[in-house]
Amino acid sequence: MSFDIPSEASDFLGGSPENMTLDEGISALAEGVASHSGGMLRAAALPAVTVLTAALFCGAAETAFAGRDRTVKVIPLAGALAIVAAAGSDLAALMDMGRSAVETLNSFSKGLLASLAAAGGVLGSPGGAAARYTAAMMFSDALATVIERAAVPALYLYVAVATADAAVGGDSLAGLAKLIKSAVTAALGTLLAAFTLYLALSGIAAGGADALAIKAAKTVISNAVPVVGGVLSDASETVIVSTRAVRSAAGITGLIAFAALVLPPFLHIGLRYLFLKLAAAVSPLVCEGRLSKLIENLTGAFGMLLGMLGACSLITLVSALSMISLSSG
Amino acid sequence: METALKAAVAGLTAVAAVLALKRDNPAGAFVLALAVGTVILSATVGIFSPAAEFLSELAEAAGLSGEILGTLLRVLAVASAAHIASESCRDAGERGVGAAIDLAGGAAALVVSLPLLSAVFSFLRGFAGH
Amino acid sequence: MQVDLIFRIAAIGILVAVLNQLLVRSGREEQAMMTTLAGLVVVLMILLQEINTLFETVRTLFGL
Repeated sequence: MSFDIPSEASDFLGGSPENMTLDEGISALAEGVASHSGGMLRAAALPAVTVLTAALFCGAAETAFAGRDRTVKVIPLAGALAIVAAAGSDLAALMDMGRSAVETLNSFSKGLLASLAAAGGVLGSPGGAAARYTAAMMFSDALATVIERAAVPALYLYVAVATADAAVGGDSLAGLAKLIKSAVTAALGTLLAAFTLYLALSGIAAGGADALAIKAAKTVISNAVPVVGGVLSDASETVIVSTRAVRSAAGITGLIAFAALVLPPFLHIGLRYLFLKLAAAVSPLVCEGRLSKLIENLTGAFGMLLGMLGACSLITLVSALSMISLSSG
Repeated sequence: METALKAAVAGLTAVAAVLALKRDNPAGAFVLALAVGTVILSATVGIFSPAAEFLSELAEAAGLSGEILGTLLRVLAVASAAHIASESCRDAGERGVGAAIDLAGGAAALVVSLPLLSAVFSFLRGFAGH
Repeated sequence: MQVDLIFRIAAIGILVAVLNQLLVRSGREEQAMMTTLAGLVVVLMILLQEINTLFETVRTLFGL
């Protein structure tokens, strides 16, 4: 077994995951989450609180000054700008976090898959291992390219359109925002579905991993953002089923490291998403429709980011699991 | 809070006085109305100061978020002041002056909100890094 | 809350109105007008003081 454990994974786990049993790994993960959770919660709540406070101010001012004064019209504009500024800077920071996580995940998974493929080859099904390896590489590269070139710019565009919609109003902008969101979701889902179908169709191996992979693809296609909701639950099922059968140490270590890499950004983005959704739910009480809609749209942007991260993680996870089932079966 | 109650009572009483003065001393009535408005606003700002202190603490602790909220508050202050002034002018029958103040207030509010605009632009500019 | 300020201004306003009426009735219209103007000036000075204070407070509070 020869692949490097990224330092981020070891930091999160508080130690190297090499030679950990599955139970040790899970408890290390849980401890990592617990120790970081305080800071994470605070950091995640802040943008939502800022956004809500801004909405509160604008709502109060608007109720105080009803009228078609030019000055009064500036208030919702300024409020929208404030909200976007708060959420946007956070989004940019999270995007950087997600991007570096994806890069680390990519290079790590290449190493992991390579060594698992070698193990699979040693155990006697070299063709299968090579095919899966190729598929995994191809798809994860394709996904990374799509995300970098298309999905991320689309996300920025989405935020810009949502801002313009809040500032100016009009149905065409709102429709455009919805369109962008559906396009991104569809693109991610399609890639994922294609990947898992390829794995299944290339006829490689039976076993729990494939059946669940197909199910994952189905869930992905029929889910709205965040893409990962249903998929993650299925994937976790996969993990539990397959890891029971995993005997190879490399597999376990890889899985634990993978989880340690993926969990922090997931939690960060997911928490932000949740808090913003809360703010969006509360906002109609304090301010008028346009600002509430803006907050909702911004929540969607975070959801899209979560979906992108989820898609990358899922590809790696599914390929790793199918490799594992190969190498141990 | 009692301040709100006091403000309401003071306002109502003063409006009665203003109406009484209107016929014989219209300019005095106008100034009285302005005076009442000013006093009520001062009281409001007084209520608000502990909240403003909390916000400035937040600004130091949180960096950007506090600045955003602070700028928003400034925009609100400018807009409120201009709105009240122009409405007072309209009350006195000088719609032209009121409209001019309104215009000036809108422009000032926009200028004050420029930091927000630049924050949004700098976020969107990250898009260019792709 | 500076209610006494309001009372002062109201009192001056009423005084001016009454004086105005008296002077007009007794035929001294120019003096009536001057009284009104004088009253206005006084009241405006008080008011402008107050507005100034308000703006200063707002400025320090909001950092304008």
